Amino acid sequence: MGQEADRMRRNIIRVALVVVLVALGFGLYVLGKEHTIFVENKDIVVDGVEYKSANTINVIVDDIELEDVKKGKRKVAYSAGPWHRIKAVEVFPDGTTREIERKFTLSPNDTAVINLVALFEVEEGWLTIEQAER
Amino acid sequence: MKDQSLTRAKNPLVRFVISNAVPILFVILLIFAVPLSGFSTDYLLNEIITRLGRNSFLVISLLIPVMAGMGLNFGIVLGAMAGQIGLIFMLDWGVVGIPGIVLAMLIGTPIAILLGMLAGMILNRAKGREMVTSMILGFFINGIYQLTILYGMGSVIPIASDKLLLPRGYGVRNAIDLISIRKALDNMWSIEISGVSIPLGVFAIIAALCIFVFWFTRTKLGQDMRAVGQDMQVAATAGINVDRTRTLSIIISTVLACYGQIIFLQNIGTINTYNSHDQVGTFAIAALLIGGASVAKATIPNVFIGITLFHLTFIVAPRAGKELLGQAQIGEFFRVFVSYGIIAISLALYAWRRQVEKETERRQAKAAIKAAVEDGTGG
Repeated sequence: MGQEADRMRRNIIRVALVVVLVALGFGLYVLGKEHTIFVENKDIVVDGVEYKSANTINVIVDDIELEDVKKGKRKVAYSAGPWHRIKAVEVFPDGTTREIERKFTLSPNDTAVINLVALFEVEEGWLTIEQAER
Repeated sequence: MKDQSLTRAKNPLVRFVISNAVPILFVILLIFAVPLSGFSTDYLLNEIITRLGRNSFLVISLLIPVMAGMGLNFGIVLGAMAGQIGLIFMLDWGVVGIPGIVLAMLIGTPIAILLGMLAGMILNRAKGREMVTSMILGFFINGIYQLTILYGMGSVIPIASDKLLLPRGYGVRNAIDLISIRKALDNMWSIEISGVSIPLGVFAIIAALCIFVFWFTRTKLGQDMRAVGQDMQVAATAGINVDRTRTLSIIISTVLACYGQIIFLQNIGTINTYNSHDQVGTFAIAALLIGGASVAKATIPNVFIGITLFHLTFIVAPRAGKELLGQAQIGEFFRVFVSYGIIAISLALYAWRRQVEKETERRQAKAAIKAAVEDGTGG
């Protein structure tokens, strides 16, 4: 009876260990999964309103400096993990600037497309999430 | 198990020289080769520190089977293959940085455990011939590994990344870039002292492993392994499950080798899918032997002394060869010659010492019997 209980306990510990390792593996996958984040400075229509791209915007995504994203251009950043931050600084022709910083979350298979014009102008609609091709 | 008969010389200096003949030979060699190579101290220090970080884990993985009396585990290539499979999956899933390395270790662990169990079972059927058996087992599993990677991955085993697969749609490419994890551990925590970069993160992991090995030797299982290593019959009489203990030592070694190979490859930054693991056993064993270890005794200091001497020879030999003979290739040949030569010499020395030891024991036993008989007849 004691031996049976011991074997049962050992099996439970083993199964628990396997479950913990699988969970840890999934956690690492989510934490370490690299995402492609496209940043574009292009015209966009959100809720029927058109926002025009006009100025060069300096962008930093999760400490990755994309530098100047010129009008009509697109750049890409590769960053790991589910939580991201984008900081954009728009430079006006008279030399003045405006700055915005936003956070967003991605699931493991997501690819993000961020429209910089919308980022400054609207609360939602600046981020498009696409499923990454495998 | 220390090679007693040859270390019985009364003069402590002679005793020291006999016990440490291999490292002393290498120190003498390096005394000539280092100035000839013309490398700066900073460069050599940088290289040695990098190589200590890169190779120590793999070499330490050899210690536990030596303790269990199974000799030098050429089967660490099994663990290396498991580590590489972990890395291939990690790359396919697009996981980067430290989480990627840990995930590769996590994937490699069950494969290494299974391969370790298989190796342990086979080595238990080949007691006394563990080294050659583990070497041949490495070749055998290498065949299965190559078959799996070349034909199974992308067809039976799902691999989606075009960067990994061959253009035909299945099989993994010859060389894979590890840019996503390259030096991730090395750069995790490193400092620079007068131009010499020290990867403290990697050294912390190696220190933790050394502490683990030190602690392990003092556990019940560690003591059992020592007992099995000294005498299997006596250990079995004392109630130790000899086969299980030996299998466990090989499993631990294989799993550590799996992690060691991942640490090694993250530093290198590329996998040669079909041959990165080939030389792992040979080079790790050569380094350990050069550090003064033998088939029967290996310690943590042997690991670090061995890696330093072996890799210093690796670094300076091509340049010294060029300066001395006008051809760097001579130095390259020398490297290969040294690795295999030192293993051959150490094994031959070990066999010779064992023979001398047995002969001495036989003579002593004979003398004791003779004395007992004389006592009996005289009384």
